[in-house]
This record gives sequence, C-alpha cells and structure tokens, in this order.
Amino acid sequence: MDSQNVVNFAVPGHDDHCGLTDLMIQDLIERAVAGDEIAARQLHDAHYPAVLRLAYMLLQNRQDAEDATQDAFVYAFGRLAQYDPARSNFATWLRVIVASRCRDLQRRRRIPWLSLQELFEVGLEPEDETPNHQPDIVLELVGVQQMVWEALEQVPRKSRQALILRYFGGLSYPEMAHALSCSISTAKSRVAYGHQALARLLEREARIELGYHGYHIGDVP
Amino acid sequence: MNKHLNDRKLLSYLEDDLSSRQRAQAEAHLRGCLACRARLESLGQTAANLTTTLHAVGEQIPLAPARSWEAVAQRWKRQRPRFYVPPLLRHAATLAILVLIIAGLAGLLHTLAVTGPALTRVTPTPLPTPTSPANPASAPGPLPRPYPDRPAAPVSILVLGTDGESATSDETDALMLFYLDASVRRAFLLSIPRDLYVEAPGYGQACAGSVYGLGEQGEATNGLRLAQETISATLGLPVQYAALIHFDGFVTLIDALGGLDVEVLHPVEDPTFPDGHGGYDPLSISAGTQHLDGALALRYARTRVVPAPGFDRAFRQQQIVLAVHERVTRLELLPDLIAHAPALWSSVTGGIETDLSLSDVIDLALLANGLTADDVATATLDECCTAPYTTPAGRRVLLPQSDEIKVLIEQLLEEER
Repeated sequence: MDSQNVVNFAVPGHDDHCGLTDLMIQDLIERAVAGDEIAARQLHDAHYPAVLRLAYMLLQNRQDAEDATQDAFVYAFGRLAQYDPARSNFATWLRVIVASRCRDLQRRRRIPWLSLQELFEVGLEPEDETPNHQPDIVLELVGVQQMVWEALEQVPRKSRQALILRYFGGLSYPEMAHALSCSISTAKSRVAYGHQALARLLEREARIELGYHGYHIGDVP
Repeated sequence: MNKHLNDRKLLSYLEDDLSSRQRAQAEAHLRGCLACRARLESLGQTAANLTTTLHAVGEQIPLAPARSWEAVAQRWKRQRPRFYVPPLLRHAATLAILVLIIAGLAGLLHTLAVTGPALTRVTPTPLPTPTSPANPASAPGPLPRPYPDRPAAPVSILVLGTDGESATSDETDALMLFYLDASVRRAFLLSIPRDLYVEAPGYGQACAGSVYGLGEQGEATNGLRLAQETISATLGLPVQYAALIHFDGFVTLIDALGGLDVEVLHPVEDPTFPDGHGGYDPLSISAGTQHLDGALALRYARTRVVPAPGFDRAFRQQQIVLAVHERVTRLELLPDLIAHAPALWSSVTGGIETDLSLSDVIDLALLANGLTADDVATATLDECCTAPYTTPAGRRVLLPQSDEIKVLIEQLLEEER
C-alpha cells in the first residue's frame, strides 16, 4: 500500500498559541511568577476557553467544569516557577493539569454516586458512570456530529475521556498517561477501546436509521 | 499473510507512531488485506468525525472568563508567598540577581547566627549589576559602597528559625536579633535563648520560643508581629522587622545550589539521630572533604554528638553557612544561577516568611554587603543578664534582667568595630 493511500490523518492543530507567541507567553509567565497580576490575568484569559471546554467535555457539567478550571489555574499559577517550556507547551501543560483535576473531582464524588446508581439502576457497565449531574447546556448539533456526540456519551467513562483528551485536548500518549495517572500503554489501549465502542454504537445507530448513508461505517475485520 | 493488525497497531500507524520496521511490516500486511485497509480507513474517519464533533461542542460552551479570573485571582493571592516583586523586576537576569542578594543575605544571617569563636573572614564580593550580570572578569576588588549618599537609619530584624518538625507546636528553636547601622558601619547579632521568659503583650508570660506560636493561634494570627513586639519590649530596642526561616527552605536552597563541599574534620557517628517520628535515623559521615546535599548538610549541622573538642554543633553550623555563603557569592556560578532563577527564587521565598518587603530586603542586602563577619559583634543573652527560674508549672526558664540587658545593648551599640 502506497503511503498516498493511507488516510491522511493527524490530530488537527489547536490554537495553542491563543493569539500569543511563545515568547510573549514566556514573558507573561516570568511576570506572573514575580506576582504581576496583569500578566497572570492575560495568561488566564488566553487559555481559559480551551481549559474550560476540555473540562466540560470530561465532566459534562458546566458548574463542575468551572470548578475544575479554577482549580487548574490556581494550581498552575502556584507552580509557574516549575513550568519548563523545554518539556511542554504551556497550553498543553494546562490541559494536563485540568484533566488531572477533573479526574480528582470525579473520584471524590464517586462513592455516594455509585451507591445511588447501584440502588436504582442496573445493567450499566461496571467501569462506566453517567455524569454526576444532567448536562446543563443544550447543544445544537446536526447530522453526523449529533450521532457521534450521542454515541460518545455512551462510551464507558475511561475510554470516553481518553478519546476526548486525544481528539479534543490534542494530548500525546505520554501526556495522557500523566493526566490520567496510567501507563502510556494503558492510554493507547483506552483510545483503541474507545474507537471500538464508538464504532459499535454508531453501527447500531445507523442500522436503526435505515436509509441513512451520510456516515461511513468501517468494516470490522 | 500474517495475522490481522489490531486497532492499537492501526491507530499507531495512522498517527505515525511506529518504528520504521514496524511500519514496513504494517504496510506489507495492509497491501494484501482488504479488511485491515477498510478498518484503517474507518478509524481515520472516526477520528476525524470525533475531532470536528468535539470542536463543534466546544464552540457552544458559554464562557465567563471574568468570573473565572476573579475566583482564580482571589485564591492565587492567598497562596502566594509574602514577597511581592514589582512588575518591573521581571527579567530572568534581574531575578537571578535578586535571588543572589537574598540568598546572600540569608547566608549572611546564618553565618552570623552562630555565636562563639570569631568567624573566618569572608571576602566581600562586589554586587553584580544588572547591566553586566555574567561578567566574572569584574570579580574581586574593593567593594563599591552602594547608595553612598543614602542616609540609612539603623534597622533591627528579628530572625526566628524553625525546623518544621515541631510544626504542630509552632515552636521556634532559634531566635536572634540582627542589628545594622550602615551609616557608622556597625552591626551586631544577639542570640536569644528560647527559654527566656518574656512578657508577650496581651498573652501574658511565655517562653521566647513559644511567642510566635501564640501569635499564630490568636485571632489576628500574626506570630511575627507578636514576636517582634515582645522582643522589642524585652530588649528596650525598636525592632522594625521579623523573619521566620524554615530549615527545610534552607535545605531546598542547598539542593538548588547543587550541594556543598564541606571539610569534615572528624568522622561523625550519631546512631540516635531523631527521625522526626519518635524513632532513630542513624547518621554516619566519614572524615575528609564531603559533598553534602541539603538534607545531609542540615543533619550534619544539627546532630548533637561532639566527635572531638571544638568540633561541636556551633562549629559545624558555621561550616555549613560559610559554604552556602561562598557558593552563593561565587560569580562563576552566575550563568547557571540565571538559568535556574525561577526554581531558586521559589526555594528562597518558600523558606522565608517575613514582613520585610522586597525593596527592604534589597536595601538591607546592599547595606549588609559592605560588611564582613568581622564587622559584626556577637553576643548571647546568657547568664550575664538572665536568672534561672522555675515556673509554677515546673518549667525551667531564664528570667531576663532588664538592667543587665540594657548595659549589654549599650555596649554592643557603642562598641567600635
């Protein structure tokens, strides 16, 4: 198979620079380390959308996402002096932090939630959890996107989060491993498992919607 | 044909995350396997769909940056170190120099903190200027007096040392007063025993070592202020500033400097060195020049064994602080220090709590920089001006004798150095 025939795929680039150059970010960081609030606010405002959105995706609840976002910024600002630009991009560093905060947030809330879940609902996959609260944002999606999002919501939590970190957060596998406190191999497996689960769900959906041809479903080998 | 490629392998192939050999193998298989080619295409399609879907969702999430910033700023301020660096001091080189100054000051305070035999003379190092930060060629030479025309009033700083191990009780186990009158080039360092029985305003009588803790428990929770007022009243001398130095902060600083080389004159064996949890953590250091990291340096300075006459705690503490002072003021370290400025900065500020503003510290460091250890008189509030006493609770303390203290301080102030 020629390399031209390979599906040309790469995680689309994010607006990692957030309108700021690396040099500007480095300058803002130095000033924020020194206690300059204006610089800290610029850093916050430039990165806030990406961080909040990622948190929302992971937690599927706006209030929780805002809490996690604030936690992440407070944590990051407290450790700005330790941030090493040679090791990771600042935007990526923040994403890893917020993903890890989201994980903490869910873990803290898991115990009471699970017991309720077990009492009133049966048949859920054991590792899965539906979100803590009902989603509080009404999304307007059409066609394939609506299907993909609905299917994604049914993917078991750990795999779902892995897919989000990979395809929305743009994290590499080592960064995902860091954010999720797991090995790189586990991170890869979760993404692969997420793909399989998603494909199954989409296939089922497509069978229900007979005559729908807009979405390509791959053959399972 | 060999077996099918699994999804993990296919994803790695898509993301170009395979070695060239694995890639060649995968391509060989794909060429002959329709099913795997279809699966590969499907995975790529799903990934692309996921990416666009997630971004479409992301776009719809309402943002409230101002509200978020308010909450973040409030919490960030609470956890920030008490040193505030003005925005104009933002460049790494400037920061590095500030770190040098402060670390130098901390080193100097520690150098001077030990009473006893005269300290080895420390050659004064010229203060690097921000315009030529990495210029070792400008090294030794006569020290230019900074701010020669600046009329400097005398200042006193109360320095409290705490080891963090007794953090529960907030006991400070080293107290000293550093007095500096730069206009007449006079300074003294007065060690205050922690068992000195003092009158803490509003709290009654207490041992000097407990005053900081008392103040932290009160409603105002300002232990530094209370300690400062108490010692000021006891000595009859205005005390403008107070600083609390955590020994662990000092450990971090030593590690940031890459450790210290110390000449261990006699082997140190302490099988009963406390491990901080009620047990023992035996300490053993052989004689000769040893490279000590922060933790080992601190244990070396703190062990109470005396392997040979004169090789006691006070002597070893002097060795450590002199080694720190030397290392910090060595100009050839400057480029390295600049590179590590942020880490150094946080290690220094993390270990010191003080009511001194940064500009105060800079001024003091500039003033103190003209001094050598020989310029500084040292004294201890010992039997000369205290009397032993047992409190009703049965604690053995030292009662300050105000007349004798007054005489001692007058002597220290008048002493021509």
